Amino acid sequence: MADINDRGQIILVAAFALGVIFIALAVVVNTAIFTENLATRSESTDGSDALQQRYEVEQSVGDIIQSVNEDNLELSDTEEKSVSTLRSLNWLDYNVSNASNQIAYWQGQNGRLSSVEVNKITGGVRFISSDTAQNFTEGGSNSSTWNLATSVEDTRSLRINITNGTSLNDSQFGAFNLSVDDGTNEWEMAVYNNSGGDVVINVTEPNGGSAECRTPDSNPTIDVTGGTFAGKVCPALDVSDGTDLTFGSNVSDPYTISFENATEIKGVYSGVVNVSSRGDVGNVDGDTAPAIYSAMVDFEYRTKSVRYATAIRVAPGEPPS
Amino acid sequence: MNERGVSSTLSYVLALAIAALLITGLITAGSGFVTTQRDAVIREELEVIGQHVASNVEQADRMVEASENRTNATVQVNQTLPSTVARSQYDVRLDASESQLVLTSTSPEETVRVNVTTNTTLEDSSAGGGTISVRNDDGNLVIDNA
Repeated sequence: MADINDRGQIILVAAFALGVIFIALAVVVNTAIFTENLATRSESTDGSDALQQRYEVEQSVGDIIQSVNEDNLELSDTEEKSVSTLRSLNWLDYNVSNASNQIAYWQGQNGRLSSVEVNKITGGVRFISSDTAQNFTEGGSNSSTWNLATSVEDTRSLRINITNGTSLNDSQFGAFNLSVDDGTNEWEMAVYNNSGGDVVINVTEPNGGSAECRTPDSNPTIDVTGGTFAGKVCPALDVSDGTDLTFGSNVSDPYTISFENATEIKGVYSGVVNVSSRGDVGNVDGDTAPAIYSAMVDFEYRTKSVRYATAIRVAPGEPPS
Repeated sequence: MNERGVSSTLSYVLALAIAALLITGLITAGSGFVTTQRDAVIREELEVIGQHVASNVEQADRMVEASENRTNATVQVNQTLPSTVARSQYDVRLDASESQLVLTSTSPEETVRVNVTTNTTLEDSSAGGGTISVRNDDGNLVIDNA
């Protein structure tokens, strides 16, 4: 018979075995802590920063294009105004490269690499009428029905700033009319005063459907390509009769932009069109100049977890396609 | 006195048998409990990892969508994830036809499916545990080990 002290060994061994099992459990559950911790993080890769950076680049390059275009308008007439001149002056490349260095510097401080480079420039013509009290007739005095631009591929930043908002035609018929026409489909936008004295824009789609926006503002701005009227989103320009079309959206290239009853409106109109030559833009009472219509820039962004390289097409004020 | 009722040998055998029975029961129940917990932990971990990979796939999708030319945009999203779940190897498979990520651990074998919603087309591909990268491959999203 064993000594009393030797008893209970089997229980001891069993307790040891159970102890080991529960330690294993603790280890297993412990590994879950890391993943549980992982689960509480919203996003461990910074992919949305890449997209934000892409958006910032698009905005910055858009601003640079606008500023280069405006500088170009101020070139003296003796200087040759052409897109090749713009390109050879390297204004866009120079400014974009400056912006790229700035961006790279700030991003570098957060451990990110970023670069922006101009790849391609599409030329066009920028026009702006000069006199706020002038009507929209051809050359300021001639025909009241005329083509603002022909053989147009694309249009951006087409804006009309009305200065005679209280003395427009008082009906849609005979009122100033902006038309976009490819020979088959035609969009029209009439601008007039209603009986309450509001400024009304009435958009007629190629299929005959129409919609309107109005404002009590007497000097409203119509952003035709941006889809706003007097600073507010205008459903007629943006979405007519619920078909989700922007003004001129189903017109195919090339198309013609024309004014009718241009004596009925006063103010300033401006825009940039993608046309092959300066002669495609009519006799604007103001200034027309070759300009950068759009630019393609190569954008690259890198962090330790994200790599993103893409071309970005920049055409500020262009309607969504 | 000691010889009454049962012999000491029988008494030993009985005591040992009862103790063994009791202890076997305890160990079986204990290890069973641990196994259940481990399976649950593995499924939970695979779920978390799957959600992360899915979020990276969707992030890459947004980046491809924002690109001018989908086929030649370089998009790569890497994330370092645990290389094992509860000391079991696992792999992640991108199932293009079901739009799902299928995560499978090797031992014990557990499978978890996580849905991904993308506009960009997916391509059947797979990656093991560790650093998993989501890439744009000619306009299709694939996963692999970076």
